[in-house]
Amino acid sequence: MLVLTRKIDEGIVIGDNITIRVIAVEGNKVKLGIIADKDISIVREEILEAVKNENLSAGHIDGSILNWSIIPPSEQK
Amino acid sequence: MNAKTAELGETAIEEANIINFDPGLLAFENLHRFVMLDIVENPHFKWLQSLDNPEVTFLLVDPFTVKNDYSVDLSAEVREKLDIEAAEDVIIYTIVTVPASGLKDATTNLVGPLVFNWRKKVARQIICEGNIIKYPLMKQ
Repeated sequence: MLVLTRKIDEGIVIGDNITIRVIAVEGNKVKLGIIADKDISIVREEILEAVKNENLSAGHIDGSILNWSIIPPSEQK
Repeated sequence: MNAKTAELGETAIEEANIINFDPGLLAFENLHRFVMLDIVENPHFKWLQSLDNPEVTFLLVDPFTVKNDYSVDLSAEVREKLDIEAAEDVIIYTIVTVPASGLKDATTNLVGPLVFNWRKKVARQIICEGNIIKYPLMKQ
C-alpha cells in the first residue's frame, strides 16, 4: 500500500479523473472531498465488506428448510 | 443447454432465460450466469440459481412487499451499465438470508439490492447506503 502524508486542503490525484482532498481533521476523523466522474462509484469500504459478508451467508441456501417447490425452468411462464 | 442446479438436479435452461451479472455479486465475482426461478407457494419470492456453480443459490424477495417505503436510487452509472432505457425494464429484488432457525427469522439485505434489466437480461448488485442490512421479513 502506498502511504502519503497530506495536510488540510492538500490532495492526491488518482489517474486522470479522480482527486481526493483532505477537507478537515477532527480528532480521529478525517473529512475527505472526492472529485470524480459521475460514473465512478464511491462507497464506504466497511459497507462493501458488510454486503459481501451478507452475500456469503445467504449464497448457499438450502431449499429443504423452506419446504417450497421451485418451478423448473421449462415450466416457467 | 443443460445445467446442474442445487434443487432441481440437472435441468434444461433456455439461453434466453440466462441473466448475466457482470461483475458478479460481491464475494461471488467469478459467477456471472444465473437463472431466476419462480416458487410455487409464494410469488413474492424468487430463486436465483448460479449456472457457473450449482451450489450457489440465493433466495430473493420483492423488497417493496417487505418494506413499502423502500426505494432504490438508480444512478446514471447503473442505468448506463445496465442499458436501462425505460422504468419498465427494471426489476428490483433483495437477497434473503435464512438462518438455521428457519424463515421466521429470515432477513433481507436492503443495502445491496439486485437491479435487473429484464429486457436485456443483465443485472448487478448495487449499494444503497442508509438502509438496514438485516431487515426482518416477518414483523416480530
